[in-house]
Amino acid sequence: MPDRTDAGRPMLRLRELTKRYRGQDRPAVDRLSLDVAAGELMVFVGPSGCGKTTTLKMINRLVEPTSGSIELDGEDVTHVDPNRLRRRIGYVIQQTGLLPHLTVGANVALVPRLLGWPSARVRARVDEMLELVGLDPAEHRDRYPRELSGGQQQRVGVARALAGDPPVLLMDEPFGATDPLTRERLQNELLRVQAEVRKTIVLVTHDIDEAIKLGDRIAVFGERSRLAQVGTPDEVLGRPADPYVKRFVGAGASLKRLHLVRLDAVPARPFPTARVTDDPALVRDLVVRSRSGSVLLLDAAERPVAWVAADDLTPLPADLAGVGLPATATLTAEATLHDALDVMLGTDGAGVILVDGDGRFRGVVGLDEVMAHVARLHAESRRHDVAAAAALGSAEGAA
Amino acid sequence: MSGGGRGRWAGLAARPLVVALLLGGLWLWLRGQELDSIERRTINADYLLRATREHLWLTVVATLAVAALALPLGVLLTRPALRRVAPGVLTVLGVGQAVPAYGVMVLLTLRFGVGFRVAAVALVAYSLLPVLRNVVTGIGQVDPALVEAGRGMGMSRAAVLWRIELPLAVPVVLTGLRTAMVIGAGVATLATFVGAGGLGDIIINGIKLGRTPVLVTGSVLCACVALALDWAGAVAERALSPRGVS
Repeated sequence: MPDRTDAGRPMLRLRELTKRYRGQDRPAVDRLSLDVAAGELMVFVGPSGCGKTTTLKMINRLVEPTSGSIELDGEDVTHVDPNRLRRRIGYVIQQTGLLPHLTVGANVALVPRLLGWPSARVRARVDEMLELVGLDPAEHRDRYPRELSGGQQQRVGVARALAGDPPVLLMDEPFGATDPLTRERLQNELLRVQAEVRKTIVLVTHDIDEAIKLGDRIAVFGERSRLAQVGTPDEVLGRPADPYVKRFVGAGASLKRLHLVRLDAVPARPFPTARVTDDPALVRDLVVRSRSGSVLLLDAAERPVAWVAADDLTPLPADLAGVGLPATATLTAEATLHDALDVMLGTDGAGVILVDGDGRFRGVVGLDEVMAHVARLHAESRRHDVAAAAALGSAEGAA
Repeated sequence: MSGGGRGRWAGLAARPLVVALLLGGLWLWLRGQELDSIERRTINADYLLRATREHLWLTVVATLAVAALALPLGVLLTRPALRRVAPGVLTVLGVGQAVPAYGVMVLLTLRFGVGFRVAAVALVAYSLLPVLRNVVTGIGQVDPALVEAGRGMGMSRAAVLWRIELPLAVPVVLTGLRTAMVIGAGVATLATFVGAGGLGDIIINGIKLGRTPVLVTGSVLCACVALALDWAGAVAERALSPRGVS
């Protein structure tokens, strides 16, 4: 896992945070303590009613904590003026919360204006933010929210939350109301934006898959905000802390872990290749000698063109243009093993063709490579379990 | 705020046209009548203009007073602290509306004598509740998510009220005010009974004296005032309603 955080310095520090509502004998949130590092994307995940949203809203004090403390960048903000505090914390909600009677530009400008920025700076910032979330400022700035699609509205919501350049961003089920396609696009967009702005983000969701995809770390909430486990997605999937987490992560945890491994983590297999312009007879010799009984044809720019087997070369064609099975199953190193598996199961050919950013051939990843990696993951988890059990055993022995 | 497109103002030309036709028809019809001296005492430009002016003035002042009372009251009743008592307050005020405006006028007269003020107070008492109800509804229908978004961005409660709740309540509030004003224009004819003048004078004259031209003139003018006010209200609604909302 690449380290995406300024290690060590927590941007948010929640200590013994408790919320009791009048007339309820049990607290909604009970003595929750948690640190979120600067630049980290922390996901709160759990079933509805587990207190994750209440916890989120205590961070910007839309819900006032009954007891406990909140530190923002080393400063105790438990009792500062909430309005000033909230201008330093971006806030994105599921329903977007865009003001329908203000233009997109005016919506994005809200917090900078509250902060008293000069209007030239506000205007420049609005355009900058719209560009950041992939909306053309000239086209969208003067439109009203209802003239935009749901996905575009949610983007404006993110642009608005970032406009005041807050160090911290709170997102309450930001993609909950969008269709699966839009949701996935928005998730990718958020990761792209986050790679650019590196904010400290706390995101609430009830969708474990979303949590795995987005989170640097995941906090799995149990009953009444009990923190069942806090860890990286790989830790939560590979080593669930207790049966509750295991159940919540659900079936298919092994498959989900493949989401977390990028293709460049597994060694790509070299594969016999030939040029489209090569002599067909020489290529046939290559095919016959190859282990898999096929050769990958590349064009002049080293981009994959087709898989060629012995059958394709009998009778011997005059040249290799248009011969063989089109090689369409290409992925770049940023794709995950899950993507690779998906592509493999959906196409013919010896595996997924790994290409670089310009589409040039780099290697082939087959089912064997994926299975070998899964086996490695299993072995690692077992080693951890054994180590944990040993540690537990020695602790008990000492006691 | 600039006008937004042709659709925003379409359909507003009909009412002035009807008023013009009514007034033109009345004028042509009166020209064909032989008016006697009694009729002429009422049907002359000075008298008609004065009565119309009184009528308009009474209606507009009452409407403005209603707005001045209902808006702050409605805002108060939608604040978190008072939200729970709002239905009760509206019920109590509903009793006031059940009393006929004429009865209110007479009762007020017994205590305060006759005149413009009594007529205005009666009109206000009559239309306060429906307007107040619209203010409460108008603010109440603002999506709570917008209020939360505003608070979450660091807007104060006052800023949320002025920049989110009130602008978004404008269409509902103005519709209520406009309806109250138009009904008020009709009820204001009763002002004649408390000596506050208005077009009611002409109508009552027509009835008491048995002079049809006087009665018709008073009635048509009254209808025209109501139509004109309705039009002015519609224009105000179009102009003041926030853009970007249906």
